[in-house]
Amino acid sequence: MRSKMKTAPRTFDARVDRAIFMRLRAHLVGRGGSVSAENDASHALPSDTKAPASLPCGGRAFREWKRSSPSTLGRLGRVSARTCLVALTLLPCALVTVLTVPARAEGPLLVPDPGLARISRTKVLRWGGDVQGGEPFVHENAKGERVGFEVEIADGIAKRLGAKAEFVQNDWSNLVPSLERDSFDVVLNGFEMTASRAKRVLYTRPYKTYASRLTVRANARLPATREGMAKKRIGSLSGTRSFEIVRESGGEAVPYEGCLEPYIDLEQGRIDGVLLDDLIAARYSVGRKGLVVAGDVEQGNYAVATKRSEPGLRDAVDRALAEMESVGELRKILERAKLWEARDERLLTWTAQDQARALGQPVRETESDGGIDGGAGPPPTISALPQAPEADEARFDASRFLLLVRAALVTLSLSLAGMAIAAPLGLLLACARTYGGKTLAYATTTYVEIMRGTPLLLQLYLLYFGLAPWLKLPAPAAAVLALGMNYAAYEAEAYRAGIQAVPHGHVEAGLALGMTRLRVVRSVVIPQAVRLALPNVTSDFVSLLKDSSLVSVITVVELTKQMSITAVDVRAWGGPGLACAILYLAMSYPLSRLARRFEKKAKVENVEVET
Amino acid sequence: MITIENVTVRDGDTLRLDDVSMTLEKGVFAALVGESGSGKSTLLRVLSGFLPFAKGKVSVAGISLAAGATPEATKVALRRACVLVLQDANLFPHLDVTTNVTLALRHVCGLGAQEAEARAHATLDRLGLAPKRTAMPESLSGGQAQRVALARALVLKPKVLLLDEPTSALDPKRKVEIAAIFREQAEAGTTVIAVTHDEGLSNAAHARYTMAAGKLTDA
Ligand SMILES: Nc1ncnc2c1ncn2[C@@H]1O[C@H](COP(=O)(O)OP(=O)(O)OP(=O)(O)O)[C@@H](O)[C@H]1O
Ligand SMILES: [Mg+2]
Repeated sequence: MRSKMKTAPRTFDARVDRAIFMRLRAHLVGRGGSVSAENDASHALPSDTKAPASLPCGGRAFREWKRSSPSTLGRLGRVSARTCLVALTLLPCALVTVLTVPARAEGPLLVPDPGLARISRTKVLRWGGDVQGGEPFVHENAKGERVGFEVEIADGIAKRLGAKAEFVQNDWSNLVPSLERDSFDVVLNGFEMTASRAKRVLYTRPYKTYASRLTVRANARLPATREGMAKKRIGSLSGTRSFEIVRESGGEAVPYEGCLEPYIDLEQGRIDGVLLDDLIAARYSVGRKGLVVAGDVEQGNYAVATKRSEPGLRDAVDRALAEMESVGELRKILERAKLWEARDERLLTWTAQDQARALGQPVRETESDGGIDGGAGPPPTISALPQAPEADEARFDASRFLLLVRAALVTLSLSLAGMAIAAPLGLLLACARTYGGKTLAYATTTYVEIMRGTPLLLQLYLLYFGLAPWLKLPAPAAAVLALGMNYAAYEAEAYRAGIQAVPHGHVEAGLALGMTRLRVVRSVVIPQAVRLALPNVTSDFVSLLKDSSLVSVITVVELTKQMSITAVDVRAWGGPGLACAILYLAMSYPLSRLARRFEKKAKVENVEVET
Repeated sequence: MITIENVTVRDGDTLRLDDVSMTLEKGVFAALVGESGSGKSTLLRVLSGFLPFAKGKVSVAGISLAAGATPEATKVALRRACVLVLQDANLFPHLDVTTNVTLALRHVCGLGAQEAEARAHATLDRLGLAPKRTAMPESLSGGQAQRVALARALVLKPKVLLLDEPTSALDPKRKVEIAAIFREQAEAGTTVIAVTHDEGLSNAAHARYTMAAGKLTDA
């Protein structure tokens, strides 16, 4: 129902919204709202200048109808035949309008675009981004303040909406779902304009042009083309357009969460190249020995994105950006950040066709109306563009499920390998602590406390990136080692408890038969301790299985990471999430059962031991 | 074979052993009797190096112990010659009966698996445990467990055998059988000390010592 109505009457609907919004704004201003009337007319209502000419029956008729509706029947008898005819032709029009106005509309004033209404109510424009993207995008300075050219752009837009810009930190790869669940009003953070995202969000005009730049090792001779990247390990930030390009070209896309890490790995030889926006490449690849730019693979643009349900807000932001561009404010901001380039000139004369091209949509020649080619008149609006249909091409199907199954096998093998380190190392630590004398006991206690007292995530980072200058561990090896070393600390405690639970009488009996202490430990204590620890060790294995999802931060694509990649691909979290949960359960449930069986068995044996 | 000279064991202010002296020749089967808490187990623990003593001298199977801490190597050498069977059976619960018996044979005496097993089976059979060769300790009765513990020690053929109430869990018929086995063992050259409350066993012994309040009262 929604989607049927959305395609055709949207532009019409949006204009009605704007017309109503003007009333609302006037109302608010009248009540002493801080929004100035000029602002209102010139920025917040983009297509209003055109409205008298192009706005058909919809807006006005609706208002008329709305005003008169309480007594329509009573009046009908007295009006002339001409009025009657007009009324009859307008009525269906009005009805369509009523049906397409958002359901939230109620009370004396019809609430227009919910985004604009929200902002005029709260006087706050919440913009989402991820400071981990780093400089020059929004990032934190030494004082912990959010800075970067996007902060200034957000301020400029917010000012024109009569609001204050408020940054909302959000994991970059989840900006769209967070936008949709209204964590913020707009996305403004190096968010590339792509055809596939246009099915999920509404884009304003761009505020910066970028290029996807391939960086390689000097001796690699990798051409900066899609063919050149095929079958190569190319690092990129997960969820970015550049990441997409690598996957489209048949390269092995290695996902990273931060800007610096891919270049570290490239320098270390763990990957063959890095494809990232030139803004990033220019800042984060410098100073790394032997890295050179192979070239640019594709050019694109960053724009602000709003929810699909809030075209009014999109138009208002777009108009604000257009003004910032036309008065030279944007250029100044970019120049201050040393980001202004000749290619950004194009943004100043951005047309509806450019917007369509940037989003991979059909360009309508007929719409090349006035006001576009610079000079006089307000910058054009892009609201008249046809909407991209809702996302439909990518589905969570069998082949994507198979990808999850494969990732589940990665998770399982990582966990098994991790446990294969953790269990023996844990036992060794437990023995060292119990029998190794003061120094060894102190050393192992320190190890256990450090491993259990610091996050596994941190240990992963240190092992993979921190040690890189001296020890170039491949990602899976680092993952297994970190999991193994971390869990060894927990297993050490489990085994220590097991050792302590072995009755002292058994040790004495062994010694009394002439066995050495070492022999008693090996043949009498450890076998019993291992059995006693087995339930705990098994349930720790379940925890390890789940904790293995953390290794995605060092580029290993395991089940959870694959799930989030798939979710971004199919633009839905439900299906992949559920499948992912089922796969985890399929692995962990049998283990939990096993742990419980061991526990029962151990209990029975313990009762026997004690009697 | 065993000489104890003026051995005193202190526990704070109380004396667990008070100036104990005793000499046993090779091949003697001695019974050690006395009321509960008189220090019988304490004396056996001193002889097998589990408990340091404050004063005196001890020599067991040619190995001398002095007052104070004993080096680990001396303890190991001592226990190879002088095996102690504790009051509780303390069988290793993760190993079956035969393996409980072969463990020390293999790792202390260095016997191969087959030879150790053959000797273990022979000893078990002698103690009436033939049907329990492959049983797990948890499935044994108290008396059976006590006999497995005895088998673990007897199979090693030690020079000195220290037994702490070895027949406490046995039925009268078995007690007689086991007493005969200890005598046989002594006649084959082993020096045996058995702490016991059992008249039958002390009567079977060559000598009888009585303890009271940490003192050896008569011989
Ligand atoms: N581990 C110990 N620490 C301190 N005192 C102990 C310890 N074991 C035994 N004692 C004390 O030493 C004394 C002698 O104990 P011992 O076990 O030698 O007695 P026992 O003659 O073997 O008695 P029973 O016939 O009941 O086994 C007792 O007073 C006892 O309380
Ligand atoms: Mg006793």
